[in-house]
Amino acid sequence: MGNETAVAEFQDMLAARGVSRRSFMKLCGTLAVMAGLGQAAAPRVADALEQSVIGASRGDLYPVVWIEGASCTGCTEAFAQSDAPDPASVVLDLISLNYSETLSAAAGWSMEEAKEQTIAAGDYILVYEGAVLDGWGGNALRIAGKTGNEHLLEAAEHADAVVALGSCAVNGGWMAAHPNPSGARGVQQFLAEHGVGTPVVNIPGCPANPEWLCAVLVDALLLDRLPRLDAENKPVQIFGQTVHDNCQRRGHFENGEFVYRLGSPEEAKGYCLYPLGCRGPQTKANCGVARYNHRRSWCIEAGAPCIGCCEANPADPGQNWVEVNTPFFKRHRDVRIGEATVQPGAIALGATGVAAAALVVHGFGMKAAGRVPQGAEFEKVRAWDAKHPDRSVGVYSKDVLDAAVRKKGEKR
Amino acid sequence: MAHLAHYREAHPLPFRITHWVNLVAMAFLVVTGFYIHFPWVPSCMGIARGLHLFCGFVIMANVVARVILAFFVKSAPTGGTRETVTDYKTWLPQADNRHQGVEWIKYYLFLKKDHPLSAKLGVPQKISYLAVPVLIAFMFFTGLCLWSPTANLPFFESAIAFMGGAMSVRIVHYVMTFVFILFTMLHVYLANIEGLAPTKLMFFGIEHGGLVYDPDKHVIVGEDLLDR
Repeated sequence: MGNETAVAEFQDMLAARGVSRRSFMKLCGTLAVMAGLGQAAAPRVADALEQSVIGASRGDLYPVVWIEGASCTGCTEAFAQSDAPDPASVVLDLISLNYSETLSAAAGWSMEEAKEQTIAAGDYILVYEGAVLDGWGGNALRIAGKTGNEHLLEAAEHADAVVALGSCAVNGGWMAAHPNPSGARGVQQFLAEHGVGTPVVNIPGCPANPEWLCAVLVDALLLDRLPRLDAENKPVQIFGQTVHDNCQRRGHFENGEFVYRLGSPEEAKGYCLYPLGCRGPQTKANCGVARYNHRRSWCIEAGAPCIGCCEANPADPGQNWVEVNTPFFKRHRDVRIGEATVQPGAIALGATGVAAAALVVHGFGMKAAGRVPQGAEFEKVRAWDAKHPDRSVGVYSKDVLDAAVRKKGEKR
Repeated sequence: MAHLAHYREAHPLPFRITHWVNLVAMAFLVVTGFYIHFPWVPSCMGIARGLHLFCGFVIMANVVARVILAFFVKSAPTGGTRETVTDYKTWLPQADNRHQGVEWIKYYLFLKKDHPLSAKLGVPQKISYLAVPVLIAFMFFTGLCLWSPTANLPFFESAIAFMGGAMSVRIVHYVMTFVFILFTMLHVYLANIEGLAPTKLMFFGIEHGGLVYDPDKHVIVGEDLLDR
């Protein structure tokens, strides 16, 4: 009977947000899949959510500290885009966002105090958005008398886990693009260098899909574990396959039905964007499954080739997605030689052209030297043998060898 | 007559077959590879990818077969002789090659008038031919790094990370194609500029008369016009 009461209470909470039971269960199913549990675990996620939300309504919230590094706030904006009461907002109700430069209503001294108290109490999750800056002697992002790097170290040290949200937080993102004057890089590399062992979950993307953060929060808060991570500490379930693998236009790719020009009839038919430089085949993310803005659409559905914003190697800021993927409409990145950039294909084609021209010239030389088509006469004695008759490789008749040695001597 | 005789012993049938397989597979790989890089006509992506993968496995298997055969099949160590040795020996430095590396380069650059004496494979030739199976193996490996079913295996994932990500692997795989094109251009040019006899022998087993070379004395000892 107690359970029934609880469920009724929870349904009232959903109803108050205009969320139907049906769409709530759909959310649980998606979250379960993204958390790597499979659709069948939806009731388990629903149960965990219900229990936590009810707990939350009694003042038992899981604290989250959200720090802006060198960011454009795009990931926060993406996360905060609830244009209608949304099942995912239920997940947000689970956390107590104790500190966020962008979203908190309060400001100044009281905010900083709330943050310090949260850190002192421990048992919270740190969401870090934007790049870590080493430039200007680490003096960037100074707030409340401390540099951004000091804030990050302090908050990360006592956290249960750090979520590096967005490609900038993973490895510097476009903040780290050439020439990277601010010395931007990712959270994981920075923390490792400073000996902070708090586990890092990397969620790349520009911006990161809010549902990916929801999935990680469901794992961490409700199921009390971190999602399964790959070698780059990205959740396997989200970043284990390429965009190409799950693309709705994949059929057109296999059929060889392509868009070669924007504004063409092929584009109107929704053909594959591969010739426009789509990075889907080499970018790992489940965009085609999770989509964006409440599954309304996503880049490729909207007709834009993937630009590979989820490419981010946490160990190497130079391998940020802008550096790796520009120019977006070409198949290959530009190769940088000093300050100049060039397409690798141009180098390869140029070298081949030069070699082909050289062979043609050589061919005329061979003709002029009378070596076409029969070749030159063979040497009677190897050049080395003529110089070293006592150790010669070939076994020549004495007069042939003597003649060659004499000839050699005359030349000198 | 300034050629050594072209005898079938230089390129026995098994190696003529692997050479054919190499040629056909390589041609398909290059064409389909460029198509996959940029599909210049519509409608062929499925075929191109299928053919590219198939030929990739074929050429790799062919390389392995060729290397194994080298230890079992006998071939002539030099042109102009019917004497044979186990084939792998013709790939190692031979007495006939000694001190001739620089001479070959000088000959190619017109700094030397007469044709250097040589083993079946001259020094620059031997080095570049030995590089080919290594390049094919590396090309095959980068190909697997780009092919979904293998790219997601942990071994290949770490290899991709080592090479600087999927984009770098793609560029390496693409630029390497031009290395094969360059090799093929040079190979075809050098094999044919002094007459088509080597090509006729390699593709069709047609023999051609010429000078006779003694692989034990390392000198030209006579002429064989094949009863013509």
